[in-house]
Parts: sequence; C-alpha cells; structure tokens
Amino acid sequence: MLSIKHISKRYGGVLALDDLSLAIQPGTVTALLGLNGAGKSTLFRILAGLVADFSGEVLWRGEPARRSVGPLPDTAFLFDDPVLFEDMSAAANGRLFAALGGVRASRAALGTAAAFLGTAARKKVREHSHGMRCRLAYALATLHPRAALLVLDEPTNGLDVEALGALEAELRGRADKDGTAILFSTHYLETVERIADRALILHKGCLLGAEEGPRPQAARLRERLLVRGAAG
Amino acid sequence: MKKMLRFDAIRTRADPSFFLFWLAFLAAFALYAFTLHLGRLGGTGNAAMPLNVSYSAYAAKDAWVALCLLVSAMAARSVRSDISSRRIEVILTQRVDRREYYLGRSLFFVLTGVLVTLALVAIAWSVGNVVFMGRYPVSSLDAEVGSGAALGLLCSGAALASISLLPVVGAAVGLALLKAPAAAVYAVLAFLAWPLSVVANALFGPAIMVDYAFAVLPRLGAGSAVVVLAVLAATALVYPVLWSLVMKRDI
Repeated sequence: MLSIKHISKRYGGVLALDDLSLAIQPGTVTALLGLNGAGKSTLFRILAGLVADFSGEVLWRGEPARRSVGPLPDTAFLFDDPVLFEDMSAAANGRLFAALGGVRASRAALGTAAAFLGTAARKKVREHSHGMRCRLAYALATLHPRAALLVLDEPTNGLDVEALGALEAELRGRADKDGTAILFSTHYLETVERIADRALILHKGCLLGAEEGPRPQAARLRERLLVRGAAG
Repeated sequence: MKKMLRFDAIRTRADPSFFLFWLAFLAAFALYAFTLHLGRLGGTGNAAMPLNVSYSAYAAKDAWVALCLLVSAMAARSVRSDISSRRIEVILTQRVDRREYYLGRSLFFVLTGVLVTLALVAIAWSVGNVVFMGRYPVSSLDAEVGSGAALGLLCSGAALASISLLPVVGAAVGLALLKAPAAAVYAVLAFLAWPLSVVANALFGPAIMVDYAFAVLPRLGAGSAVVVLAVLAATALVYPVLWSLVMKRDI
C-alpha cells in the first residue's frame, strides 16, 4: 500500500532522515518508535506533503506520490500537540474539518458527538482539557470515511487510562474490521505491545531494526531503545 | 478552491472582529466623503457644486487604494497566522493541497475586497445624492449626473478595481506562504501603493469628472482596457511564479 524508498532529509547540518525505507500493508498496525529527534515527525510531515525538500521516493499503491502538492490520498493525519481552532466550538471545528475534507456535515457532527458524548460540543475548544482536545483532534482527523491509512504522531499523548483504552480498541478495530493500515508513533510501549503488529525502531534518522510479529514485547522494545540512546 | 471558500466562510462567521473592522472602515469612508462634499474642495464659496457624485467618487478612489492595501495585509496576516499557529498543517492534511490553499485564500480576500468596493460605491452614490438632494446638478453637458450614467461609471470603476485586487492579494498571500518576514510583505504592499493610486485614478476618474468622461469616453474605454490587460498580465505573472516557489518549500 505505502512504500517509502531511500528517503533522506536534512535540516541545515542535521540529517533528520538517512536513507530510510519501509513498507506499510493494509490491515496492519505499525508502531514507529524512537527517542526524541529520531526523525519520526519528519517522516510523517513528508507523508503529509508538508515537507517538500527531501530525496527519495514515496509510493502510494505502487504509484509515485506527487511531492509537496498535498497529503497522500485516502490518508488521515494527526500530529502531536493537536492543532484546533481554539476560539470556536467543537461543533464548529467539526463543520470546518468537514468543509475541508468534503465530508457531509452530519458525519462531522457524528464525529464530534462521539468525542464529546453530545454534551460539550458547544463549548469553545480552548475551554476543554488537553485530553479532551486530543480526543476531539483524533475524531476530526479521522472524519473521512474512506481513509485507508491513518498516520498518527503520538496520538496517545495526554489521554487518560479510559481514553487510551478506547483509542487502542478503535485502532485495532479499524485495522481488523476495515483493513485500515495504521502507522503511529508513541512513547507508550505498553500500547505498542497491546495493539501493534510490528514495531520499527528509528534512531537518528536510520531504521535500526524491527520487531516483527504480533504484540512486540514492551520490555524488549524499551531495552533496545535505551541501549541505542546510551550508545548515542 | 470551493472547499477553501466554504472553510473561510465558516471561519469568518465566527469572527466578529472581521466584520467590525470593515464596518468601521466603511463608516470612516462615509465621513470622509461627507467632509469632502461639505467642504466643497476646490470650489468657490458661492458657486454651485459642479457634480453630485464627484467628491464622494474622489473619496472612493482614495479609499479603494487603502482597501486594496488593507485587504492584502489582512490576507498576508491571516496566512502567516495559519503558519505560526500550525493550523496550516491541519488544513493541508485534510484533502486540500497547497494550490487550493493558495488560490482559495487569495480568492476569499479578493471577494472580500470586491464586496467592500461595492459598498464603497453604494455609499459614495448615496452620500452624493443626500448632499445634492433637491438641487439641480450642474455639469458642462447638463447631464443628469445624479442618475444612472454617473452610477454606471462608478460601478464600472468598481468592477475594474475588483479585477485589480487579484495580483495584489495574490502577491501578499504568496509572500506570506513563502514565510517572507512581515516587514517584507508590508514593504511590497507599500511599494504598490503608488501604482495602485494611478490605477484608481484611471478607474474612478470618469466618475470624478462625469462631464469630462462623456466627452472622452472612447479614450477612457481604451485606457481602462490597457489597465485591465496590465492587471491580467500581472496576475498571470504573480501566481505561477510564487506558486512554483511555494511548491518547493517546507511548510
């Protein structure tokens, strides 16, 4: 479905991604792990079309993705520290996202209602807690019914235990029932253990290795990450 | 572009300051137009006022230059705010590409300028007629300048002025998308002020001097055609050049 071939990206003197290649298959949940500054967000920004100046190739369903013109087709993106229209209500945010995505407003209302249980949709977004804003951002980012790939940058940040469990169930459910491919980054290794089919470890822009097979062990992942971090 | 226009319409509806700003602008313009009329700028004390729309059309010409710069600065500020607040990331990952964003935002602010220009013309026309209510307007051709002819000239000026917004707003949005420093954007806009006032003179001139306009209408028509062609050429230059630069930049 998605192939990333020999991608490199440099910010000034810093090599953010170094000849990175990977592939994502439908119906799989792939976790991208790495310490801060490993290059996870840069990769996501390339897939979203926000970073245009890079070398390498992104193939979507076997075809080269048009660089920088826009995000990958049929793909939903969520970045860390979610951005919303703070001075507007959750419902108005829903209408905005629906307008951008070309989705019917009823669907937008549904997503908003799902995130807020139909009670807080009229409150301005800035009046909500961080966790609620994260939930709303996820609901709005995944509004489009045809999303075949979800690219989520640290979607677990700021979620309480209940919301985290719901998100994990939602992601696993989408992959199993709808065949949606999911690529996400997180620092919660227990989440990776519970829902991921494989974990890819990124360090200083290089893909160091993968833990293949369902339910990668959190302890083993932590060990690999910490060893790499100590090695520098 | 349709998606971006809908998006901007929803966003603007939730922003009362946007409407208040333009209302204040139009109120200031009405005051300016009244002041020019009542002050009989350029006339002698006892002479009949020469035309009933001339002074407010003169005010409209000035106000349009200010409008053009304000709407462009507002467009640039809005795009820069989208970038600095990272809202542009949300927009550009929701099935809207950079071209749609660029053109959609430019068109939204051009349409804003068009609406305000139309309001300017309506106010100019109304102020002129209020001031001259009950008086017979005097012109060298005895033309009924308070009637449709003068309004027609004002409206044609407004239509041409609206087209002229395209390259100016496009340049402002494009520069903002290229993350040009705010000072650079405003410097470019200030640099455009003089040619804009020349354009405004050419476009609203017939309304300022209605009797003159009737006499030399064919020449003015040709002049307007030149202005329109120049504006279209500038538009055809600004958008592709800035767009190709925007395409290559990281957001």
